[in-house]
Amino acid sequence: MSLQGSLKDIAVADLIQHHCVEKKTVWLQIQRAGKSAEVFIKEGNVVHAALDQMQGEEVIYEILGWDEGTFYIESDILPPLTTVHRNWTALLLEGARRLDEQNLLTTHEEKSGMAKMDEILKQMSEEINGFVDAQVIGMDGLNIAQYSRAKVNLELIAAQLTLLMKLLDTAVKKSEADILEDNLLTTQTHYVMMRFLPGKQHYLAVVTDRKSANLGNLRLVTGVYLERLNASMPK
Amino acid sequence: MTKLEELLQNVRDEIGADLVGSDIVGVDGFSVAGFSVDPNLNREAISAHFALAMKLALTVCEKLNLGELEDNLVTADKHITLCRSLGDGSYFWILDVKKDATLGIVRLTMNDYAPKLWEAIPR
Repeated sequence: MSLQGSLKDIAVADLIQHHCVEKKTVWLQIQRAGKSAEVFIKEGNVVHAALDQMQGEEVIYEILGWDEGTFYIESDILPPLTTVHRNWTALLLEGARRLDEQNLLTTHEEKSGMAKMDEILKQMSEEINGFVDAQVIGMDGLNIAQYSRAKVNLELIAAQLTLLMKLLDTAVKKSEADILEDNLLTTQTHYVMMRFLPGKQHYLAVVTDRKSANLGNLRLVTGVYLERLNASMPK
Repeated sequence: MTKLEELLQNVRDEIGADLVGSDIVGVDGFSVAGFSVDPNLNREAISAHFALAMKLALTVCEKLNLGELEDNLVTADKHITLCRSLGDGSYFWILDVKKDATLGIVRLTMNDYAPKLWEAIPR
């Protein structure tokens, strides 16, 4: 009997667990992004796994992290050799532990990336006359980095400015001026400069006091720091 | 030619070849006067979008206590668009110039003509 499906519908761990609990003998092929792994389960035990040049338990730990791709299952195919010696529950527990560790590491890297962006904004503030506030804001309206010298409602600024950026982006497209690069609001007391980071998923917003700010300096400095912010953006 | 159109023509003469188009738009998004050097552009649609953006920009400045909005300068890869309120804020003046235009001159010209345009709008 054969069966096939998508990893979006069922996780690799569930596929293995199901066949082991049912004491089945199956050959499981899992494919993702041009890679193809195979897992042999014999009478409810994982006995062999292979992926490229890799064989054994490490293959299982690798494919447990695959959340996209397809699988194909063929019953009653015997393994050509034995490369896995742990029982299936220990395998899945170790796999889950490794995935947790990996996720923690990614979260830590993201947090340190954002802390770095806060630091870059602080450095930028020292080069802009009349600096009040700077934020890196996503097009979802949430800020991911900020440095402020004034008591301001950061969430309100992020949400309002994002709406404006979206509207201006549409207006610019309509006018066939093609790509919005930046927007400068001049009020009686402040300048608000907004500039897209490459990829247009985020933008830098800088608020300055108009009396002491210099427009040329503001444009120049924000241009330089855009590159640095983009380089430290958590991927 | 109406007084408004005459004033816009004067602006065109002063800014010269850098000017791409200009419109006087009500807060409702309808243009009362304007022109474009590119006849294929749908100026009415563009002006309506920028009028909407200006309304939002005014709200943003008010909510964030940034003071009264004087103008909004939008830089795109081909053009620069300057938007500002006229008179009591019931009309916007939208002016497009080429990317390499001398912005200082454009701004000074706008400062000079904004009160005249407001006076010329029929009320």
